[in-house]
Amino acid sequence: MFAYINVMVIPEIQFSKYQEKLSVKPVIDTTINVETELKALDKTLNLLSKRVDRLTPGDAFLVINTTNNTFELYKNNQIIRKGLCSTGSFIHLEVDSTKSFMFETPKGVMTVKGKKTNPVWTKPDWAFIEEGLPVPPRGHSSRFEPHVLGDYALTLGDGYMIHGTLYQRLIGSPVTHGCVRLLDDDLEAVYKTLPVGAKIFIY
Amino acid sequence: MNETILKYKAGLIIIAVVFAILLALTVVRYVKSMDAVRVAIDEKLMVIPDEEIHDTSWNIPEIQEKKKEINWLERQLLLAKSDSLTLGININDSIVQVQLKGTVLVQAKMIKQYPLHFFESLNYGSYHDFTRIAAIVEEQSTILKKPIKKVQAPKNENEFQAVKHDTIPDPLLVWQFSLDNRINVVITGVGLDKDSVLNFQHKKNLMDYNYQNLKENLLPETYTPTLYIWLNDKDAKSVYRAIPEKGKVVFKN
Repeated sequence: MFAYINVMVIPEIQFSKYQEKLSVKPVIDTTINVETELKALDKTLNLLSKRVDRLTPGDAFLVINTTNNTFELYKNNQIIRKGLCSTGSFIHLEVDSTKSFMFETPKGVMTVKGKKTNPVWTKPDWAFIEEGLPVPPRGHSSRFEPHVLGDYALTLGDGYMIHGTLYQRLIGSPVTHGCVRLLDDDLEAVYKTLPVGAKIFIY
Repeated sequence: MNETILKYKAGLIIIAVVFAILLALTVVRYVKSMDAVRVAIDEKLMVIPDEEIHDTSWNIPEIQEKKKEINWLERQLLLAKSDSLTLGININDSIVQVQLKGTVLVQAKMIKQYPLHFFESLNYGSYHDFTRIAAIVEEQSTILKKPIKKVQAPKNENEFQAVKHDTIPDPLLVWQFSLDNRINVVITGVGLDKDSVLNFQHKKNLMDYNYQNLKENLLPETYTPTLYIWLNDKDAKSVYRAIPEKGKVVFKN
């Protein structure tokens, strides 16, 4: 009984007391012209609503959820497609005390910088290091791998892309090196819907 | 009869003494807790301008509703100037949302909130203070913000073949944070049971939180109100991982 009073009842009384004190009702001013005041408030409300609405891109944009590995494709403020994707694995690959790589999809807003069909993957150093292979010099033929990124790729800058994958069964899991992977049909829809300059929101 | 009483006399005395001690402690705690509320109210009222407390049009429901909406939109516009993901807690519509640059990225419906009608009828000044853009100053969670897995690069191909990546499922989320406007929020993830039904006992959760915090709050100096929110665990984790450390939070009610 004492435990319940201390753990549940007293905090509840504390909150009621606190809320009550801050809820002091002032006397209603009867001289206020409610109609005029409401009209003025409506005007402000309309202006603010328009300003807030303008913040959301009116054309197509993509939202990526890196926790659940899902995406939503929007056009004219409507979701036109949603599904699974794969994002960064959060693996921190340690090479030695001076060199490491973090495989994370950055959160925030990015824009589509470019669009490619039949993209060729230019393998970065980590692609060799994580497989225990020697790192070839830049421009070496072993760095270029076609047919692994699917039919399309959208570049986002800093080496990040939205692309396809050979490992379709892993879609929905956090397994990438930072890029966003989509299933073939979803990738095609995203590629065809998003123009260069479209916003990609990642959270 | 007398013999029975005499037989259990020592035991009865102990029970009575323990009862009296617990009663006295509870009374002392109650008095201190109410003092703490008074201190918190005084501190709060000190930062709210007097003319805002007595805004006379605030008590007209239609005006209040519109002013609250205007307040929310103004906060959204301010938050949109930041490059960070921010958290919106719309108590009135039971929605928790994450927004970035004015675009709402996710809206999660609250399964439950406690106390019900949290700060529903505040005076104008207190409402303004409650709904100002607040920053997280302290937080705790049952899962990591970034689930980083450290992996040593394999020295050769054979070592790479031997590497196994095991994944352990995260526990349900319990995310507690304190804001610089002196409000605590506890967001709890609710999972599904084996029949895919939401499985939660909010009273037990509340008792657990209060019990954990009892040590600090046994004889409190001041009081901080706490809002408890239960969300689907998937939504809760998405929201938690989206919001950066020291992230910004705004309320609507």
